Amino acid sequence: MDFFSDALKLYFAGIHYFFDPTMILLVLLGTIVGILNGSIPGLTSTMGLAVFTPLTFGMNPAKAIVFLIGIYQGSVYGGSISAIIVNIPGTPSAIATGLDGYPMCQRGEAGRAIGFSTVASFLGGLIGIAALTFTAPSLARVALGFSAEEYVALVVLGLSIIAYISPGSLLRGMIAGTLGLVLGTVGQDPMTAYPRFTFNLIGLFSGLELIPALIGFFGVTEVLNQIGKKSAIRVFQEFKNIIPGLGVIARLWALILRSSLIGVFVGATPAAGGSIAAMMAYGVEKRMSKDPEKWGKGTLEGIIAPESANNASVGGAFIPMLTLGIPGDPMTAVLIGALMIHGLKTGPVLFTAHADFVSSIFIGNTLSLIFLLILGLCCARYFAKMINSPSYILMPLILAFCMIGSYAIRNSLFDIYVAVFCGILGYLLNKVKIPVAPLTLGLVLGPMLEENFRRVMILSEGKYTTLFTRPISASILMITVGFLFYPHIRSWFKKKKGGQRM
Amino acid sequence: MQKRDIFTAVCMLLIGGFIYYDSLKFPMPVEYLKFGGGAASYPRLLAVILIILAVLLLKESRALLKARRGTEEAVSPRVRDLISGSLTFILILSLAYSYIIDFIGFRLGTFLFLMAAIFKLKGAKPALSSVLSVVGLSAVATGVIYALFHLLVRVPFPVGKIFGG
Repeated sequence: MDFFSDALKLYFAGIHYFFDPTMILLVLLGTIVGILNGSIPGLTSTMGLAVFTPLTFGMNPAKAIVFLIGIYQGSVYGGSISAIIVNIPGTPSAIATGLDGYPMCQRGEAGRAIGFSTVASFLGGLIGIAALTFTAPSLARVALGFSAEEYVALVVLGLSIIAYISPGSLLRGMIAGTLGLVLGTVGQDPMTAYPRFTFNLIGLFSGLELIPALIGFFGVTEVLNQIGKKSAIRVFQEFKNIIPGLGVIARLWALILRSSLIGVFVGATPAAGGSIAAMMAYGVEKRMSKDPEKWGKGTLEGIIAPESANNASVGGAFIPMLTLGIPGDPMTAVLIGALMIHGLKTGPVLFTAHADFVSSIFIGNTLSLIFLLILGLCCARYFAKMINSPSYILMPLILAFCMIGSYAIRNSLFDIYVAVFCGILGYLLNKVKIPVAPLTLGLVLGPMLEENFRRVMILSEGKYTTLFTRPISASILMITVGFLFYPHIRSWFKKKKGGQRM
Repeated sequence: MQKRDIFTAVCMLLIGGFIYYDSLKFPMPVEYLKFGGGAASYPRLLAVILIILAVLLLKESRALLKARRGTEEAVSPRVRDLISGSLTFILILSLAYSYIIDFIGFRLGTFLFLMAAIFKLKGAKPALSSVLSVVGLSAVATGVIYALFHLLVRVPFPVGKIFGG
């Protein structure tokens, strides 16, 4: 019983923040911005978060985080709108939604598809928050005993994500990750303060400013990609019957629960985000379905499974971010950067030193889901209209936002150059098929790795075996090895099984 | 495709080589920090890793290029395919914007940036209504950004040296 009452106590510890109506308005505004951002093809959740982070600098940390949470939840859901009505997923996490959503739209059932996607996102998101509320405090208590060795092991685990977020080639992902680690060394050495790779530019002495770099890699790069494309997307649709029947939802409760749990698990694993969660839930439910042949032709289950999973993964992604301080995906990497600007470091200490702030994250997520449900059911048709906004207006506006946002962090024109430089670098890397996400992971985790590893070496007088003799760090390193070799082991077993059948 | 990979690998080799070379200038660690290595040890390690990865990419690409020589896949896209006219214009415009707002100020700089970018991407015809709509849109967007960042978040924007800022 203590477990439940402690979790609930933590959940409501920051309720006083929400007596201020601007907090609620900020969640609402964030959710609207998120849905619009997610529903426009080409604007990803990460980009939305990166571009709007500078707007939060003048706010207190609680207001800033609830606004960004609104954008996060909203854009993960918003991606389904364009996936359903134009068969172009607004965000990667909506790829699976389009498989059945678009065929429904072609049958004239776009409204119904959006209605069910909204309710599934809401329910999945709630299950994600419940998982976050009940598991995070216990995990944070364990993490409080972590020292430099454990942090090194955790960063290595975080970097192993590269193996999973490198589409096509692991080698390219590793090159990108190493480039990110290299960019993380720019600035003063953490131990001796010697300036490294600064080219005598004062703006680089404190390192490559994280938020302008992330704005560049996600925002500016995406704008350049869109401008580089020749064709614009303009499809017009009409839709009705948005509010779904409760009977169908009740009939599919087991599917929603299963898919949401998959979402929480995948989201919490520092390897993947909503896109993998949604694809996995789609695959599992199709395999379990009595009529698998109907999937891909416009079945409701094919929309509900991925949509519950991708919004549940948001709650899951907050678990490693809040308790261990490691980003599970690029979105949480941006959120960690945003919190750093506000002087808050994610990790187990956050739960003891700023319990009310952690609570504002839980409540903010819940409120955002409620707004998402209302907005999705009442205003989906208006959001859909945004999909047809001409890119010649949107792209310059986003670019201006990226540059001004970068400037706003330190009121430094130099940071605009950082954003533009990172944007060009990201664009060129995309063109040579080097993925940008592993690079940003290296950039975020690199300084943490160097500082903690060197601390371990100094304290242990050069004995790196201490990393393997401490039980928690050894366990984390073993998990990392398992994580890296799991796909190979799985394919080996599959091959063996196939060979036996032959 | 594979030619592009060879180019990428060569670039990574150069970056790795530069990092290693530059780190040679870094000072040695002081006695009590010697186990943690100096400022050079970590970047040097990364440089070596980058060089190894670049060599692996080079090897992989050369093998693929050899296997597919003469086929369509071996043809490398040209630089002009990577950088279109609009893209080059927007890139130059962005760099110019970040340089020029110190002189002409945020409001005029952002207005001109938006107007030029929208004109270029729209491929606007010189019709008066089209020009007016782009000018109006740029002015409204500048106003909205100014209100959000300056009035709401209190970001002090450069007034512009030519306006006495």
